[in-house]
Amino acid sequence: MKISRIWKKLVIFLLSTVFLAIPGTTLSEEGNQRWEVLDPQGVIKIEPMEINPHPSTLEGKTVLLRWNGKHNGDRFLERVAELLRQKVKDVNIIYSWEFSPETVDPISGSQERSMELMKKLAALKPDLVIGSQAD
Amino acid sequence: MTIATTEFIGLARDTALSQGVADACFVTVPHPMGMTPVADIKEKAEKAFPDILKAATEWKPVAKLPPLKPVYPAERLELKGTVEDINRQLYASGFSLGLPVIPPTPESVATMLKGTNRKPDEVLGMIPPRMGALTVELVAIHAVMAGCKPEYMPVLIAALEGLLDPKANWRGATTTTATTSFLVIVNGPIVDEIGIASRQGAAGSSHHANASIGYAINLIAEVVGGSRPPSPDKSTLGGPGDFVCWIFGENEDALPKGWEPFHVDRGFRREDSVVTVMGIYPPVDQIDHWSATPEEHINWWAHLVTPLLSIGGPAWITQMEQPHIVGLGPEHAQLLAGAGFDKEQFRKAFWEKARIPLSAWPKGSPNIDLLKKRLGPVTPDTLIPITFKPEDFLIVIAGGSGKHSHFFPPFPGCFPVSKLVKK
Repeated sequence: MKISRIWKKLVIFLLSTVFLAIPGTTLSEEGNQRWEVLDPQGVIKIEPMEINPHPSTLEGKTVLLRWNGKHNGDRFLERVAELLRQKVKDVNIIYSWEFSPETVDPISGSQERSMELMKKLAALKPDLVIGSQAD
Repeated sequence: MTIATTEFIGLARDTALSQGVADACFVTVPHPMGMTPVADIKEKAEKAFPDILKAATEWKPVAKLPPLKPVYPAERLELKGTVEDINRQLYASGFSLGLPVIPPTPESVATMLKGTNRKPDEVLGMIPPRMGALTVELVAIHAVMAGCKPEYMPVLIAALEGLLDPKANWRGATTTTATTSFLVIVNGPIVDEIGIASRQGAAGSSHHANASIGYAINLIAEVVGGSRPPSPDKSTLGGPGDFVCWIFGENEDALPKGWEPFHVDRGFRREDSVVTVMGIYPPVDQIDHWSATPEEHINWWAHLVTPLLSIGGPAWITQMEQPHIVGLGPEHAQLLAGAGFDKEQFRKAFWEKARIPLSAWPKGSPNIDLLKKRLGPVTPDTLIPITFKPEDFLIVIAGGSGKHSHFFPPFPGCFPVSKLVKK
């Protein structure tokens, strides 16, 4: 009985020694912890789109003014049109909102609607499109 | 050539880039343009005109898009420090929203991927405006960061697939100046299976599935989609919906007798699990403690939810073509159903009554001419409804006990999209 008690004490002492010998994670060690994490941003995947070159002169060319319906964008473009007519010989101006009033509304519309709008305006075969974003 | 103001030139450049145009022609004018006297606008045009003329004939593209990298597997990042340090580093890199995240280790992401049968290299789509390629692996990374459980993955993926549908207009909802959020409604057996809250305070706090899925969606929108303020997310103020989107299950147990669940109205079977998403303006709390009849209740709805509240913005006509979601509180639904009203009768009566005269709109709105084309001759006294047709009021039973319903107006161009939940 006595021997068994001594053994028990010895086992407890040895186990305590082992546990005490394992160092707890200190703050400084935690600060040095190395992490491997997966990049949450991912990669961009865009098909490139080329813009047609601008004409070298606007004389005799067609300029389409595109307004997206935001307040005063039309007034800004109307003044640009006046100045273009004053400075550039035989320039032909088309106002998108007069040609196609329904193209005014789709602010923040879908990609589908943007493509429809673009096709409609491209069918006019302008030499240059000037768009006003306003806000 | 695009003319943008100093405040919006960044958004214009980012938008061009996200369409694949590395180098577009821009002319910048001082902000603002809207709500400015005409004389000032003319002066801005005159000052900008030399730049406009020069760019019109001399501009040439220079920049090219960087070469594309493989979308899978995700790159591994080596970081050092405490959990707090890692959070700060992720935030500084633009990889979190400012709230804490769980670091997405390869092991935790692998565990998360066990929640779906979808392959990790599957590309769900490109998230605008940055056009980040969203793989299933990337969904799992964000699910880990937001604290989701693996079994939430099918709902999270269904919601993202819905938002990636062009009809959902992800780009518009996340780059606008308006205070917007995503609305996510979950129906069917999956609600109880994974513990989506659908009763008292369902869209609020303390519901783990709702909170973590809603957080993961917004993490993906900002980190993969890149819609961070001040640009390209141009929110004037923003709101808590930018952290965790609106998400709840329909309270199907509270459906009045004879009323079908929302997803059945949307063409699915009752036993299907379905997620419906939509880009929304902040919802309106419709408080009605008093009505004793459907007529009184509908009258209250019609005065609280006016067309101006819902469709007062510049894209007014677009919104009149869009579905609006009516989140009926169970007690309001019982008042209606108890008096014999079905969904159809309610939506029609509400639609008929919720109108205001055309004269209420600001005269500067270009939409008045468009409205004349749609409705025929109109006068300042013509009463204008919220939508062109009553069927565009979609009804869902939302929340638990109390005298509150909610009206969710759509952001322009954002249509509801419903997706089956696939495990």
